[in-house]
Amino acid sequence: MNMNDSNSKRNISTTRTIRVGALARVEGEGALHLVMNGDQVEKVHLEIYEPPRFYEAFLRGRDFKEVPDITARICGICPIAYQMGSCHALEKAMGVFDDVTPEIRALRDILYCGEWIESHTLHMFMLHLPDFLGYESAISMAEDQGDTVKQALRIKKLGNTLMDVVAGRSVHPVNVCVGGFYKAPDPKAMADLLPEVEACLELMCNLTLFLAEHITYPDLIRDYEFVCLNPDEGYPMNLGGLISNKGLDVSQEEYGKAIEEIHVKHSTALQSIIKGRGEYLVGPLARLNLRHDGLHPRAQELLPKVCDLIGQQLPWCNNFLSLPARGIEIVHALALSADIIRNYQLPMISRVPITPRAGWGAHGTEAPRGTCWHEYETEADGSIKSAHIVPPTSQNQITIESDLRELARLLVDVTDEEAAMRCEHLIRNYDPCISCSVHFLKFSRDWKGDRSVPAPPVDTAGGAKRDG
Amino acid sequence: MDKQRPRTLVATCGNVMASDDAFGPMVARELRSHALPSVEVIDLDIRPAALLDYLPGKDGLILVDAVHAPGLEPGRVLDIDWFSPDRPGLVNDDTMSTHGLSLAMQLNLARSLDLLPPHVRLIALSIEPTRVGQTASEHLAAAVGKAVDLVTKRATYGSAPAAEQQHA
Repeated sequence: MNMNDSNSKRNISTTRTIRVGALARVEGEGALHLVMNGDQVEKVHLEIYEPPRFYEAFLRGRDFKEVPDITARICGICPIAYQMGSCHALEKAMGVFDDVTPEIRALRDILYCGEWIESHTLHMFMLHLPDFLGYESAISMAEDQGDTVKQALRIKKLGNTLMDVVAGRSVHPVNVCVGGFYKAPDPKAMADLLPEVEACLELMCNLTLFLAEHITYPDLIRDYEFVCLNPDEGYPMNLGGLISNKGLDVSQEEYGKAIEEIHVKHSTALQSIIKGRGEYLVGPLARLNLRHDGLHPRAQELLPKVCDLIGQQLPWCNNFLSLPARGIEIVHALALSADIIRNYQLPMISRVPITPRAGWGAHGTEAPRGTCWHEYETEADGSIKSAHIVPPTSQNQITIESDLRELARLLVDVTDEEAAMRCEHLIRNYDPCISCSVHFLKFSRDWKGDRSVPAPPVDTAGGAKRDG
Repeated sequence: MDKQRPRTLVATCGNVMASDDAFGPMVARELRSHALPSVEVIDLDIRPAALLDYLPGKDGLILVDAVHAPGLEPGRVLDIDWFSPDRPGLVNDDTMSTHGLSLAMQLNLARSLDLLPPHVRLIALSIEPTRVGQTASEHLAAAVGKAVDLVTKRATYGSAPAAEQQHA
């Protein structure tokens, strides 16, 4: 974050705009604009101005087999999520969803575990933890917490390695196809991963307990509607309908009808609401609150210790607790990976055969930052007639704004520098991927009416960021 | 010393869907067919945050990427020390970094953690501003060949020769 150091106070009687530089450590480009009327928050806009990328449009006319490789390019952090959503939805469209074997499903789970491990570790330790510990960045944090950062890097690398082995490569994987995998991974290569998976599992249990014990989490309790997948067994990841804590209980196919996407002037990303109710929250906190019963026994064993250390039992209604929630999810992903590796044998088939047909299919999976839902209509030759993708950050966008509205009320007496920093911290609770939803955020706060407030800094936008 | 362990890391970066920003990935593809001894080639694509995973134990790092620089004509291939004050900004740094963890930030972090190889070079192609969906320019193919030769020379004979050659 670049901004002027401006802590002196003065009296003003007119509207003013405070600008600070770009928000770092999120994916995508956006701005935050607060309008304050006295001590009241009049407007909160999370302005996503990154241009829309029209993936849904240029999927039209493409062969269905190309879709997982194209959608993987929507995001450099969560390509697996986009591949899994498109594969499942297109398998429904092609009428083969129920033919996918348990062995293929297990490979999909371990591949997704790799992405959760890599993405969560990157976010927790490189991007989010500096906020909690009072460092400007992971670089300054590493000077004091070098061992912790090195352990996190080891776990993060393992996540990438898992993806390399199962999907050919961790960046835009090449081995995933509609129906399964082009080639099943080599059993020896899988078995060779086990010692490192087990070692990282122990490391991550200790790191999660360390973070639960030594961090003071800001208090911002909210009445969220949590939404996540609801699998018959296990923790939300690839399968299941969708549920919420406020009565939503729909099939994957019905999800598109249960939510409504709306366009607002200040955002190039569509925003999502549950019809008839409004905003909702997807992501680690939703998954943990709604389906902690599905966690791997190693993560189940850890959870009460974490709850005791932070002094809060589930449900966690404070999204600053997304940090320990991610820690528990990494433990779950590592333990599940170890189980899958121990049971892995070369499957009889790596993918189910598909005959192209005209059809329709819809399916969402749990990306690291929340449910990512896909819907496709195909022509008789298997080409894409229509495509519709609802990324997690666009679903969370209104909830982020509501969180900011609540937080802004508590920040009227702090300097703009402090306010901006705390708002950025809050936004990073969501690990937002603005690139997915349509990179860096500007902050401005307008004041209406008489009040004593911190002096406005001049516009310091610029520096390292393209639009900062 | 473990003779099997790659000593030099060649890390490429870029977006194959955005015109000449495909420079890095195309160099990686070409280098893989050369199978240089003691060299590990990784294509970070548009996910530069993975660079840190590959740094431990390396003696040298060669980054291959595209750059925008005022006054630098498109199509020019640069071969420059990463820490040179003359190094232009990368196309993929910051503006396309993954969650803000840019290549430059990762190298600073690596230095804090004693993971930074002693020699870091940048081999870069100067390109016009690009957008996703644009086709490659006439410069790209020739630049890839030139870069492959430079990487091969650097990886084989070391990253810090006595006579610094800034521009190829």
